[in-house]
Amino acid sequence: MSEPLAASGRRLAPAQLRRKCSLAEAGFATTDELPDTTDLVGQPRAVEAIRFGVGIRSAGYNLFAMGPDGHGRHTTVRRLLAERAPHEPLPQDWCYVFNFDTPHKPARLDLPAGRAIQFKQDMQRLVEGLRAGIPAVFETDEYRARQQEIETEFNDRQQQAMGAIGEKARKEGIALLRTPAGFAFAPMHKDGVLEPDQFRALPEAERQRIEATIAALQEELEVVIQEVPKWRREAQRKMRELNRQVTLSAVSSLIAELTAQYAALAQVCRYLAKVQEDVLDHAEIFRQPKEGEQPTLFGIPLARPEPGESPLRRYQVNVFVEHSKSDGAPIVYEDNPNHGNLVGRIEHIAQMGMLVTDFTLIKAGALHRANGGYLILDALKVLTHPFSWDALKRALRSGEIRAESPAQALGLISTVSLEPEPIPLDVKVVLVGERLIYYLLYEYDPEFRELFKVASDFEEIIERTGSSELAQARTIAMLVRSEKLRPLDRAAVERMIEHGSRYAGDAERLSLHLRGLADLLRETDYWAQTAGRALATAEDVQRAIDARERRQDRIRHRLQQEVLRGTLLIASEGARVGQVNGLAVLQLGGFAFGMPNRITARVRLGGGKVVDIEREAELGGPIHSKGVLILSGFLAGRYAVRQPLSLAASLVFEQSYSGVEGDSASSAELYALLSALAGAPIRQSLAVTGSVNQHGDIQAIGGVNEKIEGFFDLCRARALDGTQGVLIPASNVQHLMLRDELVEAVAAGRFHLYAVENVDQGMEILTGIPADILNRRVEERLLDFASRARAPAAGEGPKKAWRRRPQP
Amino acid sequence: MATAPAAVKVRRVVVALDASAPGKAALEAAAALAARLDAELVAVFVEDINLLHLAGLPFAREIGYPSAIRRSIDAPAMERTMRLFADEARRSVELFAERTPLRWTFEVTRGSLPEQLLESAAEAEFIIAALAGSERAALQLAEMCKESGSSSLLWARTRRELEALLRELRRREE
Repeated sequence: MSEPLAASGRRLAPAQLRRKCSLAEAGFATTDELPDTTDLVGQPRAVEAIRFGVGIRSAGYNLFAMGPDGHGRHTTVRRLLAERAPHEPLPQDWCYVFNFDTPHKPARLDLPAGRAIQFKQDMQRLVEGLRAGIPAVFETDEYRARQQEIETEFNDRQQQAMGAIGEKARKEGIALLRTPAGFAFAPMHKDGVLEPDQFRALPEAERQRIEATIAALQEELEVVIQEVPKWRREAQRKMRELNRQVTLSAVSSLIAELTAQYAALAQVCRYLAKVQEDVLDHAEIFRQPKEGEQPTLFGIPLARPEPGESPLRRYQVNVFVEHSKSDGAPIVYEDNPNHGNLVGRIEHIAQMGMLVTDFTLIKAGALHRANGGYLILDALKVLTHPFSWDALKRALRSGEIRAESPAQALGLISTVSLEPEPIPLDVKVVLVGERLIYYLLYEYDPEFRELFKVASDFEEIIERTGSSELAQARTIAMLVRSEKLRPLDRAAVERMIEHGSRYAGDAERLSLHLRGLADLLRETDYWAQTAGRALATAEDVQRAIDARERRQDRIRHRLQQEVLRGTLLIASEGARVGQVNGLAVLQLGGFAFGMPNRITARVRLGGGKVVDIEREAELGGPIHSKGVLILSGFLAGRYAVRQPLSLAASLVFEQSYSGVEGDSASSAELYALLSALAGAPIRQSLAVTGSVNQHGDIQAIGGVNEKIEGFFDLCRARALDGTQGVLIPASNVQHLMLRDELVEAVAAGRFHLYAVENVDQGMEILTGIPADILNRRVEERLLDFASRARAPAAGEGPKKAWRRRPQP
Repeated sequence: MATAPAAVKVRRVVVALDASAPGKAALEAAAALAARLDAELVAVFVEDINLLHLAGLPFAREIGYPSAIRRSIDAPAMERTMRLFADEARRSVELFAERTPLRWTFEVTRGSLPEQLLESAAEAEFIIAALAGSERAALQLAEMCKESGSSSLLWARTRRELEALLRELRRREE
């Protein structure tokens, strides 16, 4: 079948099918000659937003870098922060120390940057000094003499009191005896105690006198004995006083030295004063041998929990966050932002079957490490880790970080744990995530709006101009160097850029998908290596693209095979009424391809309804249904306006067993319908894509390249005979980035593409019949239907009788 | 206290105890001393006749130390207590002898202590007396030792005195 005259005017020239990239003017031969670029191609909006968000210091101006995966959000954020952070002041160091007043609330010490470790070492040296110094002062003769003095005083006092009573008793002829458990008085006879018989032999009066005397003495003795604990306490108090004095002599000089060193830091000085008080009260712990006996339980030796585990642990310093090795504000990226990694955790040690903790086991989280600087987090990860999102918001809202377990934060546990003093927070958080996450959070989380006021929206595409092509070439060169790949020659770079345009699905745009670009570069490098080339060429790039397609095209291949075997009925020659080749895009994983699909229409007299079989079978989506309803609107508005639309039409995607969505086939459906109404056969060597509006204008659709290539592949498999081609919306011409072989086929006149603006143009090309004739035939057919529809109404009477249900 | 005779072969160490607190420490110290000197240990447990007499009196009362609680005492209870103390002391010596080769005798005496003790101590070079309850007896013993001039008496009334005494002993040995 020869091409109709109407078609030739709409045919596209080969040059329109693919926009070539030429960097000849850029004057480079390989990527090695391209300089590094610090500019981020195509992201001025996102970059401005980040600079603004980072620069503004007010609360709540945290950032959300949004955009699809693989567009360099992390890299951009990091690079921009790294530009700024080194010029910002170092944040201070934070330590936790024992709180001598309330031990379960460890106290915080703020130290200038880099001094925390020094302080920790100084405290260690202090404790060592005390360990040596304190036992030494207790070994002095001075201390021993004074200790004995106190002891002797106590003993003398006791003995004197007892002695006095003993003396008094002896004068009365009574002895004070030591019994196994105490003292007793007994009447004397010569050298010994009066024997019971002798006692009974005494006169009654004498016996009573003795008993009364003894009773009185016993009372006196009782009073004395009751005094003893009081004297002992007094002696103990004196001992304590002595110990304190002696300890002080050892401690004060050491602590004074340290206090002088940290004189500028009032908080540290206060802490040191408390350390001194505590050491004076607990001097005995410094007097114990360093390596004592191993603790045992029922004779079984127990493992020591930790070498440092001793009462001296309380004088340790937990260096929580320190910056001795950093310069500038910190930039922290937390890859695993679970609750503990974010706000810090309090760890426990198992000790004899129990879990114990203290202030040295408080561990910093990402917020602590990033304090005074920047924290980058992956939005999805924060949201999917339990409690992390709430913890992050709480910290940002309250301006302080509390290291606590989720169970503590939720109030689920009541076992004794630590409540470390909160640390003031001054951090800029950058969340990186998909746009959907941003919009969902914005909609459903009121706090999100307050805390993340700056959105940095990353572009996926950039306008394709000479300068953007060159910029992309520089990006490619930089990626090649950073990935240590083979350099690319200029043709290869051009091919890469063309692929970027194809990836964007638009001849006038370039994709900014950096990860995709980098992947393609790596694969190109592999093929260049396989080919034994030191310089990657356009051939390697093409091979990488083809190989990638080949790896993914199993389903496309199977479908094509079924078409060629005739299982799936797709004609590419001849002509038929009410039947047209539509084009659909299938997307599986990262691979999209087009496949032709037979669309048929049948018409008969009816009630003015176009039945979309896909929709009736619930296989069509809402947009597809919308397209069908629009074409009913077109029919009703264009033909036989004064008559009721008495048409019953049905439309179907033949051999489609899964869902159909989108309106890109609505023009094809309309062509099939008009063909059926006009009785005009449609050339099956053509395929059609494009949506239609109620006026009959053909509108742009997506995936135009894949669709064209889908039909081309089929035709090529069956042999190209010069009649085959595809009708596309004229507004899609700018998107064409077709394969080289297709462009060559078009150039050779073996395949054709037609840009169509409205239905009439399309029908002329498809049927070869001029539009006015076609339209008249459609109108006549519809008028015929309308008059036939009215005809039975005249003879309504008898029909009704016939229809009447017989009475029982 | 007394001074130890220099360079004399020690054959016997006598330890005298009664039912009072520092007894056990004294016993162990004496046993250790005897073992070291390769001497015989003679342990004498003295049941103080005076206490037994006291316990027999109808109004006998004991005032607890340091509780200051007054309670009545009687002879059977006092005897039981003394027996208990004596048994304990004996066990201590036995235990010690099981660990260390030691020749030993253990006797329990009642009544006028010094004569009997001196009898057993006649050939002893060391007499350790931990007799808090029998002060008079101890004093007498000391007197006798001084008269005979043959042995040295180490005498402790309280635990502290005993400790000081043992320290002194050790120092002398060195």
